[in-house]
Amino acid sequence: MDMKKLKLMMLKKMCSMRETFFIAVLILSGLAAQAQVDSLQSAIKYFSKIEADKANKDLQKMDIERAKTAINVAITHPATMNDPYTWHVRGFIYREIGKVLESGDKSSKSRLEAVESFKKSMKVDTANEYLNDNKKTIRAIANSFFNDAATYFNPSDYKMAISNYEKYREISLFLDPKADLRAKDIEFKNALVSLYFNIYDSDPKKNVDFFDKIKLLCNEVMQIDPENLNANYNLGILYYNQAVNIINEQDYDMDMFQLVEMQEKTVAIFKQSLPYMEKAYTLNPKDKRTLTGLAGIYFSLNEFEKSNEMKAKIESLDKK
Amino acid sequence: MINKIVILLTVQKTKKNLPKIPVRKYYSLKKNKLHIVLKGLLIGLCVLFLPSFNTPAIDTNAKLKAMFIYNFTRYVDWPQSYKEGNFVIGILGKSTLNTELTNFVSQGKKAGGTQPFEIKNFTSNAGITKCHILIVSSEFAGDLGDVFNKVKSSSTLVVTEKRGMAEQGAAINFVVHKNKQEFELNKANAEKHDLKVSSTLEKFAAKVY
Repeated sequence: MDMKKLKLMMLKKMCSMRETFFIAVLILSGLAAQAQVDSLQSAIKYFSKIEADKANKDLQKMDIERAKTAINVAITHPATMNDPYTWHVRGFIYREIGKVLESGDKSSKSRLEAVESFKKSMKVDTANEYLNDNKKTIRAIANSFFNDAATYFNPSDYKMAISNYEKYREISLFLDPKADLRAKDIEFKNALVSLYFNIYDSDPKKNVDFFDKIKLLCNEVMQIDPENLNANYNLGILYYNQAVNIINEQDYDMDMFQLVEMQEKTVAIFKQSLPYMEKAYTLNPKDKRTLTGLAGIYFSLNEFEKSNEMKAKIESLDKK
Repeated sequence: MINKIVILLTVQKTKKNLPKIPVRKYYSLKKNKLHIVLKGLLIGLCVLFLPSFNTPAIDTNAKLKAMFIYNFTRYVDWPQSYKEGNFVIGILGKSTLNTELTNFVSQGKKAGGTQPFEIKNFTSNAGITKCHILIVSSEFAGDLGDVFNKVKSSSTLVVTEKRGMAEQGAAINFVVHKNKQEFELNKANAEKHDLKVSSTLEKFAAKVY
């Protein structure tokens, strides 16, 4: 306060009486602004303690809560609300909230709030003073979403995997609207197809919805890359297994009329699987999975010579 | 204006004192390393959940043939003397049908609702005993003459699995037509063994001799 009094005395000397009222208003607003700057400083002070207090979880939690409260005061006042640094700091604080306070919380929005803060910092940062740091940290958060997508890759949490990947994608495109994410998309979709297969195969009747989901994903991959081995193989196997499941489920005493009808249907499905598996074969003629797949499809279509040819190729590969 | 400058300077001064370096150091990026880990994770998942073919679980062709054979018991009428005791299905030689027929026999199904099924495996013509249906594997297709001699006086429905066999004495011969498992019917060969074939079975035959 002494410093502020001194500033006030100096200003009084410099200004005429007519200006006193105007200056008083400015000073009062200055003091209020100082309070807001204190909020920013407080936020940084508590934030800086987080690492030091990591041994004491309660203390660390208190640091984060205090940093959060202080920074949210700082972003509301005109003196700091348009300061890129305020938003920059807020981004870090919210990122830390996500990591420390809400770790494992699938519904946590803190990282997204952090990204929004860094984006806001970039928006008001006309001098690009924090541009690189903001971008780097947003990139790190995007990667953490990708990492979580991989972590959630299981039959129970796959929806979280999808939403995390979408966040990764959205943030990546914000950082670079021309970013080529095709390879990542293919990688993700193919992994998701494998997971969906796992769910579908566990009970094809109960999980019948996954049949269309797999088909859709494979087609999406092939739209990006028609030469994609996995997508072609997976679609081939999807149809093949569908036909096999139909035959497998039937009772031996099925009536002749139904039997003939069922065979018509399954042969049509086996034929549907064939072009995808043949495509996979042309893409990699030495892939044993594909050779096994083709042998199975040809066999089911009663094309035994072709089936045996594929089996011979598998044996030949085994010998090498 | 003067006062405004003072305030701005205060803000600037405050900024210089901010602990920017610890913040950056603490949040150092490991971008490349992270990406390698992620890629490894997803590839790992692809391998972990690799879809597999259902081939080992079932021989679809054999199952379809077994289902056809069950239907033959519905649409072929055996003489009265064959309507008691077990309904015997004999298999001459190695056939993929063995597993499937054994499966359906184990389900306790009965021919005509009364006769329990029984599977008999024969390794030679000489070993053939009384059976309602005799499946001759392609392995024995060359010995068909001997097979017919062996069953000529019995009401046995001879079923083969090789093209042309219906013309050589078999009553029913499995053939492949347009990628489908079908069968040819030689009614005369069936009747030689005192077997009556229903018109329904004729309708489903790919060819009737």
